[in-house]
Amino acid sequence: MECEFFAILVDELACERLSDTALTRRLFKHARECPECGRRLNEARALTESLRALAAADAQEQAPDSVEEGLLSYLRRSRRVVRFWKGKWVAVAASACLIAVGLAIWARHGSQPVRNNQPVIMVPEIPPAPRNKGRVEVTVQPGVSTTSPSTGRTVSTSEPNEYSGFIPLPYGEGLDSLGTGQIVRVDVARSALASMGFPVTGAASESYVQADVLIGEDGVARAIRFDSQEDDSSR
Amino acid sequence: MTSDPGDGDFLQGLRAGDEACFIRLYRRHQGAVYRFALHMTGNPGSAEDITQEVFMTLIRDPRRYDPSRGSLRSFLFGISRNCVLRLLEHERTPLLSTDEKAFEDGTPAEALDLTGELERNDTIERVRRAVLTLPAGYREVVALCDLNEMSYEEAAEVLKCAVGTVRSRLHRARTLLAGKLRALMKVDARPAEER
Repeated sequence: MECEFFAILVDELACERLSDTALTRRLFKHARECPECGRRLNEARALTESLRALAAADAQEQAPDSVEEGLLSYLRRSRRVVRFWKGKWVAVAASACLIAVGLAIWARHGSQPVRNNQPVIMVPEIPPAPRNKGRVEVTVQPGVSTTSPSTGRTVSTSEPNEYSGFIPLPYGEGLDSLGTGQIVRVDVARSALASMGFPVTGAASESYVQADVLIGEDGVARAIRFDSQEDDSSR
Repeated sequence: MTSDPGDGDFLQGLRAGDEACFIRLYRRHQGAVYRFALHMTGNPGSAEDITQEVFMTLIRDPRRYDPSRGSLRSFLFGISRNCVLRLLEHERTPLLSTDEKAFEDGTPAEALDLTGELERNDTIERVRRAVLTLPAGYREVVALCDLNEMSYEEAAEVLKCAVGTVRSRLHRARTLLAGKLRALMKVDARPAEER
């Protein structure tokens, strides 16, 4: 049992790494009494001496001076980089802020389409046309035809407003699907009105009639309203 | 464990970019780092590269060293060890070969008698060769504890293992080394024409 214990600790004994003096004394005593363990200790000592001889022979081995020079130039380069950024951080931060503000403005406004500068008459949103069994109801103003030229339907009347008096055009979808739109005042040739089925006088002449055309969001004319004064005098 | 006296001050200086502090640190530790790399690789060129890499790491990020986790020497040896292992991995050298793992499990070694057998210089060269043929896992404990006279505790910090592991691995490494030295002596003892 003592030999097995000795074999485990023989290297530490040979290297003088055991701090317990009582244990060291006990192991040396065993080595003197046991020839096999004595031989083990001698061998471990020889190995230790050999390794120490190697360590002593290499004790003066050092990295060549070129390594130190290379490291010093690396250190100087690193310091220059740090100094460069140290002096520039305010400028870099300011640039970053400007970019961020620019991006925020672009995100808010940049995606909106360019406004058309053409003089278009804009009107407030038109209230949805009331439905009544598929018929379009447009308020009728006094003196304006209330008959659709294509269907001959009579449109019903409610309280007069700024959108009253429009007659649905024959090829349009009517006013059912109209949400918002624009009213554009135009001069329409009498002949054109006649071709659309409107009962006009002097259709063969080249004269014009002033009218308001209701144009839907899709750009398609939905209805037409004739100027009442002109209509009275000329139609 | 704390760093060696003076290392902390020099490190602080290095963090502030003080060149003189770096030189002091470098000159204090480069020899040991270089020798460890040399004993591990057996190649002065590789040892040189590894030493350079170790100190470049220190320059790049001196704050990586945490004094509460051990001495600066252990930290530098740890980086050096990582560089060595990367190099050995590149050369496809296993840390412990299958045979040596079996040996680690308790294969007995024959007796060795180095005393009076060889001239001093021959012995040194033979030991150097034998150390270099050890598997890296054993070579590193011999290089740290026997050739750099590190304590088991310090070696455990470098190797990131328990002190008991260092102790048992060193014991097996020395047994294996004795066997290799014996084999080398037999080869060298034969007449030249037989080799």
